[in-house]
This record gives sequence, structure tokens and C-alpha cells, in this order.
Amino acid sequence: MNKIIPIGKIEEGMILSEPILNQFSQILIPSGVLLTDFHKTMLARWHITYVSVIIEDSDEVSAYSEDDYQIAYNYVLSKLLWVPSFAIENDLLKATTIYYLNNKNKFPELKELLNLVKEEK
Amino acid sequence: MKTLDTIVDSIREFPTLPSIYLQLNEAMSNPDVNINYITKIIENDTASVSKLLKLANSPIFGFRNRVSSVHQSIIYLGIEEVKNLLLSLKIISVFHNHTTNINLITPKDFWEHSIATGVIARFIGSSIGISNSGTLFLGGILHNIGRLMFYITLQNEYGKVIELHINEKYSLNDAERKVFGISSPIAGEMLAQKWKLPIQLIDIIKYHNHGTSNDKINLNVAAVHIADIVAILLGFGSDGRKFVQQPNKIVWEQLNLNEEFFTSNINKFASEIQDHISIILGSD
Repeated sequence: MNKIIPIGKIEEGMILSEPILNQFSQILIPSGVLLTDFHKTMLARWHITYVSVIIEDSDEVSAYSEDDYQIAYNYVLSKLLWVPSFAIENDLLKATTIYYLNNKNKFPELKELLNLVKEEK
Repeated sequence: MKTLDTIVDSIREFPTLPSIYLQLNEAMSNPDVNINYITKIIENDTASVSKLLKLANSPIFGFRNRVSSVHQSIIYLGIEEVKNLLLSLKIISVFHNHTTNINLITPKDFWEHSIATGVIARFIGSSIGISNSGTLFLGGILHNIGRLMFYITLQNEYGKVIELHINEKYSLNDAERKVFGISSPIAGEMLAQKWKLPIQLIDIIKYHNHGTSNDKINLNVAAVHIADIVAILLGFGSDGRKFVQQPNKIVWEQLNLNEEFFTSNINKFASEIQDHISIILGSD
């Protein structure tokens, strides 16, 4: 998945997903390049503030156990007074569930629920 | 208990729109106005300039070159977009210091929710080809202005609304109607009319909860309707809602979003929202 990040957040080894172009659309850094601190310095010198990089898909459903996903999904459902009935609503619920799992610290109730289940096992 | 009349009175006493917005509107209504004159008006508002430039450099606009002056921001973004961004910044700075203590909703919570709604509405707008996505961002910022007015002027009474919402599962709008005789979108509409906001914004404020305006298709209203729900769901700030309502079915049909729209964009939303929150609510 591609993500746009400020150049301050570039870490060595991240892969550039879109080329860096100058104002004449000439390629300064092609896509697919492994970024290094050298690139970071050059980007800053060119006054480029954001780049698009490939982020490992750690946030895909498969990154979480079925149990964890189900718990998070039910937790999200508990915030609704309805059940998703269209494909786009299911997609919204799925995206929200993944977002909650990726940001557990923002949702302490969910974090606690997941820990409880882990302890029970 | 305050009545409808007192609410109407408080609308009358509510702050007017920031003068820079009025100055810009006036300047833009003159066909001979030049960009240097407009630049000067904006530059006089030194408090907003640095935030404006930071927003102009946000990846949401996708400029390869850095926008480093007000003049450039007008050329790159267009005067309408700049005006909308400025109004967003000014409204938030005017109201941010009004304290509210209803059920722990802080001004920070309130504005985080509004900013998140604005950012998501803009994304939805761009994905379906709405050209005035600046209106959508400002619409997101302003959509709950009626509720903010209730928080500020009816602090003590608003607790009852929240109680009905949590215990009886009333929607906040229904609870407001029951307690005050008027819901916040309608109070917001009255305020927006007093402010002489453009009709697109008035529609968003009045109808964002339904998602359609008088059952007619209105893509601006539809985008903010969905964005509002998504912002609550993702937990960016709060406007007091503990439960998220079901989106209007007709709105999904109108917007016709790709079936993987949310799973493919959720991280982009989150990082843009976070950036906007730090720029707009940050101390600089």
C-alpha cells in the first residue's frame, strides 16, 4: 500500500512508490528506489516536503488472528445502532476494524478486550 | 428551561463572521480587483498566514513545489480555496477559547471532529470529481456550528440531551428537538443565514444529517453526511455522539463510491486528518 509521509518520517530502506519530479517533470528520483539518508538530504535541499512510499501491508486482515479481528469487528459494531447492509458499508466496517487494530492505543477499551482474551488462552 | 426565543436571541448575539472573510468577499466582488490587493488583505492577518501556508503545502493538494508565500498560495490554490481555508482557521480560532464542559466534550474534541469531517469530505469529493472540494472542507468545519452554539449558550441544559441520547438511544438531533424544541442543524442554518454564508454551506449545515436536501440530490451534502459518520467512527474528536447513525441509503447510491473506497483510503485519511489537526489546532 502507498502512503504519503513527510520527509522527516522517511526511514532507511523505505521504497519510493512514486517518482520525484522537478517542475519540468524530469525525474529526480525514480519510483522503486530504496530511500537512504542521502535521499532525505537531497529532498530537503530540493524543498520537497512529502513523498509517497510503499508501506508493508501489516494492516491487512491477514496480519491479525481471526479471533482478534472478530473481537475488534464486534467492538466497532457496538458503536452502531445498525448492521451494515451494502458492500460499501461492509467495506467501511472492515476499514474501521483494521484501523482500530492498527491503533489500539487510541482505543483502550478494545486493547483491554484483546488482552483479556489473550490471557484467557 | 430556555425556549426557542432564547435560542433565537443567542443567535442574534453570536459573534459575527471574521472581518477578513467579509473584506475578501467585498474585494472579490469587484471585477477590477488584482491579486496583489487580495494578497495584502491576507498578509495583514499575520496570525493566520503561517497556518495557511502549512495547509497549502499539505499533500492533499499535491503540489510538487513548496508554496512559500500568500501570493503563491492564491495562484496555486485559487482565491476561493484560500478564502475557505482562511475562514476555517478564523472560525476555529474565534470559538476555540469558548469553554464547554458538557459530558467532557472539550473544544479540542469538537474541532477535531469537525476537521476530520472536512478532510474526509474533501477526499470523498475529489474521488467523485467534485471540483469545489474547498467548500467541502469548510462545510465539514462548519457542519456542526449549530451544536456548538447549543454547547456555548445552553451548557447546563445540554446535559439532558446527552442523557436522552445515551439512555433512551435518541439521536442527538431528536433529543435536541425534544429538550429545546429545535435541533442543532436548524439553529445552525439560522446562524449561517445571519452570517450570509453561501447557499452550498447553508445546505450542508442544515441537511448533513439527512444526506439529501429536501430529498433532492446534493453531492456536497452527501459527502459531508458520510464524512461526519466516518469521522465519529474513527474516533477523531467527538460531538457528543456515542452511537453512529446508519448512512442514508440514497446517499450511497448518489456517491457511487468504489466498493473498496474505505479500505484503500483509510490510512491516507488518518494521516491527513492528523496533519490538519496539528496544523490548525497547534500553537504556531
